[in-house]
This record gives sequence, C-alpha cells and structure tokens, in this order.
Amino acid sequence: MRNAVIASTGSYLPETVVSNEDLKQFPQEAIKLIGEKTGVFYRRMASDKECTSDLAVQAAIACLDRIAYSPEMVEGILLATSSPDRMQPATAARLQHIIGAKKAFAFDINSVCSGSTFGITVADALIKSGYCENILLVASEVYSKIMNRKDFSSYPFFGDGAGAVLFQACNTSSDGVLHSCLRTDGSGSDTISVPAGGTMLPFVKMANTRLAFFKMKGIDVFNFAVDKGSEIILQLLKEADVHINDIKCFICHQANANIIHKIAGILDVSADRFFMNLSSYGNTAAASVLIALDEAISTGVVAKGDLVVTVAFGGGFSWGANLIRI
Amino acid sequence: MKEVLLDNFFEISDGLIAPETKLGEIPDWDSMVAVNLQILLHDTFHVDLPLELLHENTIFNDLIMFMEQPDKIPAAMKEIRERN
Repeated sequence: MRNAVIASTGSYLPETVVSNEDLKQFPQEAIKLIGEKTGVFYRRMASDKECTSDLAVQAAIACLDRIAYSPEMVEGILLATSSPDRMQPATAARLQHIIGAKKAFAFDINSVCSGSTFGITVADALIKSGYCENILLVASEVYSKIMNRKDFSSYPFFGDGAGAVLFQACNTSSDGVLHSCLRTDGSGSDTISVPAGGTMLPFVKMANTRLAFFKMKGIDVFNFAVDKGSEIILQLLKEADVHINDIKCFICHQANANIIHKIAGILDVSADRFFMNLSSYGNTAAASVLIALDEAISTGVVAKGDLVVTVAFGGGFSWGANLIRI
Repeated sequence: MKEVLLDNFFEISDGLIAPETKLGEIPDWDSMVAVNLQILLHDTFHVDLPLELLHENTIFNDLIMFMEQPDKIPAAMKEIRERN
C-alpha cells in the first residue's frame, strides 16, 4: 500500500510580537477579556511589506532546508489560505516561483480555518493515486490585513503565520496519513465571511467599508467548533478502528483555548494531550494546524511512530480531521 | 444613534431598534460585542460609557439617557454593583 508520509515540516512567524496590552485601539478595561475569552496573550504580525505568499515562502524554505531537499524535486504545491495575496491568480503560483519549484504544479485551497486538514487530505489523495511522488503543503495567513483593527470581537483573536509539510510517497500501510474525514455545511456560509470584494458584493457596490473586512458570529462559531470538532475526531477514530487512548497528541486548530478545553472534556481526555501554542500566536486560521504540527515535532512532543490526530473547523462551515503516524 | 447602529451592526434590522429594546436582543450580543458598542459610542459621539453599563438588560433609552445625562452614570453603576 502506498501512503503519504511526513518527510519534513517547517514554519514561519513574522518577527513583530503584539501583546494584548499593545492593542491600544481598545479600551484598557476590555483588554483582560481577550485572555479570558480566547487564551490569546500575544500574536505575530506581518510587516507592511509582507503578504501571504511571503510568509508561505519562508515556511516552505524552512521545511525543505531541514532535510536539504531541493525545491526542483517538488512535484506539487498546495497552499491553504483564506487571506490570499490577490483575488487572482492563486497565491500558490507566486510561492512556486519564488522557491524555485520549477516542476511543480501549484494551487490554492480555501477552506478557511480547516484548510490544513483539507490540504492534508488532498495531498494524501494525490500521492495515494500515484499522481505525485511528493507534495509540499503550505498554509499561510495574514489576517491582520483583512480585519477591521477596531473590531474587538475578531481582531484580538488572530495572528499571522505560516506552516509547511512535505509529504512523500512510501510503500507502507502503517505510517503517514492513515485516514481522513472532511465535512462541509454550507448553511453556515454567512457565519464567517469577508462579505465584499467577490462577485456577490463587488467593491464598487459596497455601501459600507466595514463590509471589506473579516467578520464572524462568535457564539455560533464557538458552538459549531465544539460540537463538530469533537464529533469528527470520534468519527475519524471509529472509521479507522483506533482507540482514543492510542493517540499521543491532538493537533487541534488553535482557535480558542476554551474551545480546545471543551473538546477535550467531551472526548474525556486530558487537555494536556492537545498541543497548544495559541497563547503566543493567536488564531492563525488555516496555518495553525501546520504551525502546531511543526512545533510538536521539532520540540519532541511527538516523535517518529507516534499517532496524532489533526483536527480543524472554520468558515463554510467546514471541518476535517486526519489520523497520521509520524 | 439608530443610524449609527444600523451602519455598524450588520445583523440589526431597522425594526429591532426601539427605545425599550435590550442590548441582549442584538443578534450575537456578548461581552466582546459590548466592547465594540463602547468603541462606537466613543468614536461617534465622544462619550465614554463604562463596560458595566453595556450589559444585556440595558435598553436603548438607558444608553441615550447616560449619553445626555452623564451625571446619572455613577448611580447606575452603584446599582449594578449592588445587584451583582
């Protein structure tokens, strides 16, 4: 059997660190709410000159350099992002050009915060089908440039960052991506959105500049994430016939510490088994799972042979999970 | 104020804003949205209302009263603290 195994990982976080106290646009009496409601205390912010593909390039290079892998050997690039450089072309195209992956096809995946789990599934399918020997999956987001900096119900949650994973074909049935589940419920398509700038509401028809910014209905998103995040983990494990106690680590979308604690409670597993770095980086949308996966591997939280579950949920609604043996 | 709210809180419909409407009746109202309202009132009307006053049971008429008669804010704050 042919599986997609993790050959390397990498990540990139912009240099600028922004603490909750640095968010001077908000009333000081509200600042403590950020930590309480989200678990976020710091986030990274891209510079004025950095766009989504710039962060993606740094994460991709970190990933390939770790194992001295030539970009010219990369056959396909998938870029998960919901904050693309431009409406078109695909942000992945600029990434492919800058890293010099001349032989690789490249395209974007927009499943908002679920982008990494959707990307892992597509990468696995491309490799399992025999279409590719390897896939470089990158997830990159620069939400600081698509959000209203005065919207307290979204701006403090998010940060900028990018993560990358190089998948390679391997003749094994026991390592790599073992199983995946993806789900979409389009009835929630207005719950998380950037309303203007597409064909539904072109900029020229925009009545209010606020419509050009990211918005979400916080309570609906919280309930959806807790419900579907826990449900799909159980479904994944059931379909793969794996016991929850066999999972070394859950790499969950870093949306909100309270969501992760709730999911852990529903699954009746210790929250310690959920990798968390959102206090330092905030919610980096699609990038959060790949950044967390890279940190979990590079810090030794998970090692070769360990079973991990990646799980994410977000706009669409969309949600997904992958069972991976490192 | 009605115009400002309709412009800035997308989920509010015209019919929802009445003198007796509670802030908690605004769709998706929570403590984070309360901060957005606080910022909006500051930026638009240059009034600083404490977050404690922007709770789910506050009605629009109260907001207007606090904005027009800020001397009533301390008594309202005291009442909220005693109730809690």
